[in-house]
Order: sequence, then structure tokens, then C-alpha cells
Amino acid sequence: MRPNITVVTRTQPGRESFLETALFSLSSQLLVPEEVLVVAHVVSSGPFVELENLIGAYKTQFNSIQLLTHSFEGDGRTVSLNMGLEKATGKYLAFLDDDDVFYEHHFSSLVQALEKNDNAWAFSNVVRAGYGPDGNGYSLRERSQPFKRSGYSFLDHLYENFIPIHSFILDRDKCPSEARFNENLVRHEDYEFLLRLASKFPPYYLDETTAEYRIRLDGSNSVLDGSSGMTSEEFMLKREIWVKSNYILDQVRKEIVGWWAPELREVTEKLGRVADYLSTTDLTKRMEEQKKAQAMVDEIWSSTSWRITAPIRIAGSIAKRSPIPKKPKVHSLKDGHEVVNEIKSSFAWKITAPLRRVKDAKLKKQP
Amino acid sequence: MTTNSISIGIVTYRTSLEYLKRCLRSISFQSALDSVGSVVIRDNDNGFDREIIEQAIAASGLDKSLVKVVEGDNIGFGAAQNELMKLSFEKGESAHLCLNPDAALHPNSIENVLEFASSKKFLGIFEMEQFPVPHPKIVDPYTFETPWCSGCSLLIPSGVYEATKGFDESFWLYCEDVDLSWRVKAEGMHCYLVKNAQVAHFVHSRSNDSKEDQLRALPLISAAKHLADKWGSPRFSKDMAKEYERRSGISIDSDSLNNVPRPSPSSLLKAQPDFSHMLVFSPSTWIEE
Repeated sequence: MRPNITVVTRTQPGRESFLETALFSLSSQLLVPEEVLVVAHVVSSGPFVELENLIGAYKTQFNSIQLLTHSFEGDGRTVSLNMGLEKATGKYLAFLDDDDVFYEHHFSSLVQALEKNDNAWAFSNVVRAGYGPDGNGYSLRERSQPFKRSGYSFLDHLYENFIPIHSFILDRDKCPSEARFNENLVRHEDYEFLLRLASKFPPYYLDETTAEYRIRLDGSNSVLDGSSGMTSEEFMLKREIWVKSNYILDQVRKEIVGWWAPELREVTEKLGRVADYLSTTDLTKRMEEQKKAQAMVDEIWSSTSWRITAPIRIAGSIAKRSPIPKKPKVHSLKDGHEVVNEIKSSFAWKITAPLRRVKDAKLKKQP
Repeated sequence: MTTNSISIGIVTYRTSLEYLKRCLRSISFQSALDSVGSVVIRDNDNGFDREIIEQAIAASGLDKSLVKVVEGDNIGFGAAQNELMKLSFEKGESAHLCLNPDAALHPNSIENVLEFASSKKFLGIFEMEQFPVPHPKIVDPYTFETPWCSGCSLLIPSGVYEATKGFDESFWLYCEDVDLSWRVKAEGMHCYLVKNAQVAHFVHSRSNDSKEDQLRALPLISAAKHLADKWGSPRFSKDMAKEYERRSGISIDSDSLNNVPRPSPSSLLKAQPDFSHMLVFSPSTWIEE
């Protein structure tokens, strides 16, 4: 009998503790997926005892759970996705990276949404959960919803990836059977896949929070995304990968909407800001929001972490012959959040994480 | 592995089949299933859930002889669990696991909670860690002591039951676990969170229906007021009464205690009840932006 739901989970040997959590979140679903394909990018021919033991321990929980391996030379994350995609037999298909989790109603809610509507795919809200070291492991420190939008807009999606890979499910009977991930990409591979899909098949947006994007605030759960502890060569290589991925994405955007895609982006952003601005009809409220947004930017801009790394940023700008960055003026909360998020995801912010931890620890000690 | 035999007590009240099935199924997958002497389900709605319970048992894969169902009036969560604990300890079980029907155990959780409790000589109560969103209350990362234990998935050893007589039955629903925890501490024992014993239990709101959330919180607020009346925080009691009235338009009694005895000063000293962190009853370890 054909499984109803297939889940493809990417992992690597050595990440069994993450994978275990992902598998628990799958087994504790109210609607348990029938087929789980764990795709491991490996560097040797095995055996992968820990990985196999873990999958063996979950054999009774699913109708089918399989370990698939490949030893692609280089970054194999996209190859893993395509391998899973090819082997999947379920009507509905979902992806879950080994360090993320679904909430218990993820499948029951999304499958029901697709059954009631005629869309080929559906997505829901995802929480970003930040975990920090607590002396004997990691514990939750913060939860936020940076990906949440008020609805789906293809124009917004074209320029902003707000649909993480585990927030959507596909109805494979309605999606093109030849759909694959672009293996030229090792960043934004899921985003590019969705952009191509969304250009032909609009999604159903379910305004429920059904999954969690987990990050370790010290960057230790990410194999390639964390920049701490990198040599300058590794850092340059990583940057090159991002530049290449962004270039390919721009090409895809042009394929989808035409050569005017870059101009469209500017117009969309401006229109978005005007729409945001006009949607707040009360002038006093607008001014309050603006003040709040600017205060948010001022606070992070004047923080010790950001100030002490200013010389590095200034030197970088001089070397690149680009203007020295000044504190931005923001006019809406959206702008404010964008600036704050940009700072928080910057290298300069990440390298000052220990300082903030010391400060937090001091604050905690105070009665 | 330990050789202790425990009972698992589940109290239902118009429970959904999908949740109960998941809960029982998770018991059947336990690595330490041999340690489970019995699973007792109390239908708190006099047989209303009978069909659902039967279906869930049949679908769970559990040996039917392991599961017992009792039916009765809706006497509240604490009183129902007390009834189950009494049955369990009379049979000679060494501990009782209170388990919510909307929770699902990790396959190793019973093995791990027993191992941990054994290392503490069963002197205290032992809560499993909620997954995927842990409760925000603080936990010592080295001793795993916590200010109180949630009753969602809570191991209560027989000795603790004897010392405390279980839950205070004047609590109908909610906060009976906080009260029990403080009484356990008053007896000189500890509350522990066993981090490697996980239980899937999703308590966060799925949607943004704030009106629904507001009404759902009413029994919790009322119970929190009762807790404050009992443990001597008139200010918190007043705040809860105000909050209840704000949400429902109904005012609740100024003193809910009636004949419930108040803890002694020495108990208060040992229990250290915390009413300064709202309904978390502890400083929070994480924030929601």
C-alpha cells in the first residue's frame, strides 16, 4: 500500500544526537509518517554503527525507515535531498533536517489543509528556537517567529526566503514529477526549488505554528553555517559559496519573471514599505512605531558588542572602497527588524557572543 | 536498568482518540516495558470515554492484561491520580507515573527516569522533560533540582506518597503539582527534572486565537489563586482574582480555602513558594520574543 506521508531527513555520521531528536518528533506526530528516509552524506564506506543502531531503534515506530547513504565529494546537502526525493513513495512529501523538529500537529494540520484545498503544496509558521550552553549541555534561551508573514505573496517570496525547508509539505500527485533540487546550489537549494514550484503552483498558507527551526547560539550544530573557529581560507570559501548561490538565484529569478527581476525587487521593496506605512492609518501610531523601531536600532547599534567591532567593519569598508556604514534611519518596525536581524546574523556579532554570555551570567548572579 | 516495578496512571476526561492512542502506543515502545507493572486509566466521565479507551488500547499494541480501566465521577485530576496511586501502592508497586493522555513518552524515558530516581534513592519526585518546548522554570544543570515538578509526566515514589498523601484534592485541575512539589520540599526531599527522560507534550497555542487562549486559562488562574490562598500570598491571590474577572467578567471568592489547612511556618521555609514570577512559579530560563 502506498504510504501517505514520506519524510526525508538529511544527516551525517556523528550527528546522531540531533537525528535522535528529529526522529522522536516524527514518531510523536498525531499523524505519524509511514515512510522515513534518512539520507546520510558519508565520507567512508562504513559501517555506520551508531547511525544504523539509531535507525534500528526506531524501526518499530514507522512502517518503513531506511538509511540511504552517498559519498558525494564536496557539499552533499542538495544531493541528499534529491536522493530522498527519488526514493520517496508517499503521496505527501516533507523534509526535516536532523537538527530541526516538527510539533505534534504538523502533519495532521498540513495534510488536512491540502485535502480541503486544491493546492499542490502548503506551508505553516515556524518558530526559531535558540539554544545556549548551560554548563552540562544546551538549553532553550529564546523563541521567536522571524519567518511569520501575514499571508503568502509570490512577490515577497521572490526576494525573501521565509519558508524554511521543514515548514512545507508537497502533494506529489499535484506537483510535477520531474521537480528536483538544483545541485549547483549548496545554499538556498530549498528556496530555489520552492521559487520554481511557486511560480506555477501557488501554495496554501496555514496560519498555525507547526515546526521549530533550532539553532545553537554558539553555532555548534551547523556543519557549515557557523563561522566561529574558521580559518580565513574556510571563511573565504564559504563566502564564495554564498556569492555563487546568490548569483544562481538571481538567474532563476530572471528565468521566472524576466530580465527586469532586479528592478522589480526595488519596486517591490519600495511598494512594500509604502504599503506598510499606509496600512498604519493612525499618524500617532505610525510615529510611535517609528520611534520604537529607531530605538531598537539605536540600542543594538550602541551595544558594546557592535561598538567594539566597528574598527573591523570600517577597515573592511575602506579595503572594499565602499562607504563607511552609518547608523541607519528606519521608518517602520519591519525596517527596524531587518536592520537588527542583519546585525545579529553578521560575523561581527557572532564573534562577540562570548562577551554577551559573560554579561548574561553576571546579570543572572545579581539578586 | 533497575528492577523497580511501577504503575502508570492516566486520567481521561473526554479525551481524543488520536492523543490517547499515541500515549498508549508510546508506552508499548518503552525499552523498560518490563518495569511497568500496570497501566491504569481512570475515565473521569463515568464511562463517556469507554469506546475511545477500548479503541486506543486495541491500537496501542500493549498487552491487554497490563491495562486496567476504572470509571468514576469527575473528581478532579489530583483526586483521580490519588485513587490510582492508592491502588498501585497497595499492590506493592514502588512508584507511580502520572501521565497526561495528551503526552507521549520517548522510548527510553521510563528506563532513564528510573535510573535517575534510583541514583537519588527515590527521595523526591521526578519530572520528565517536556518536548519540544521545555517548561521555562529553572533547573540546576548539575543536580537537576528544580523548584517544582509538572504533573504531566511525573514519577512519584511510594515513600513520597506516604509522606505527603499525594495531591491535595482541594485543587480541581492545575497547580496541584506545584502544591505537591512544595510539600515534597517541605518534607525535606527534592524536585527533579530528568533531562534525558523526554515526553512529547505540546502546550503552546497552535494559532493566534487569543480569545480562546484567554478562556482556556481561566481554570489555571482560579487554581493559582487557590494556591496563593493556601501558601500565604494575599497579593498574588488578589492579582489572580482580578485577572479572572478581567477575562471572564466573573468575580471569584476572596478566600478559596474553606477547611484546607495552611502549611506551617517551617514548611513555608523549606518549600520556598515562589509567587514573584507569575504562573511559572520560578524564574524563567527562556524568553518568547
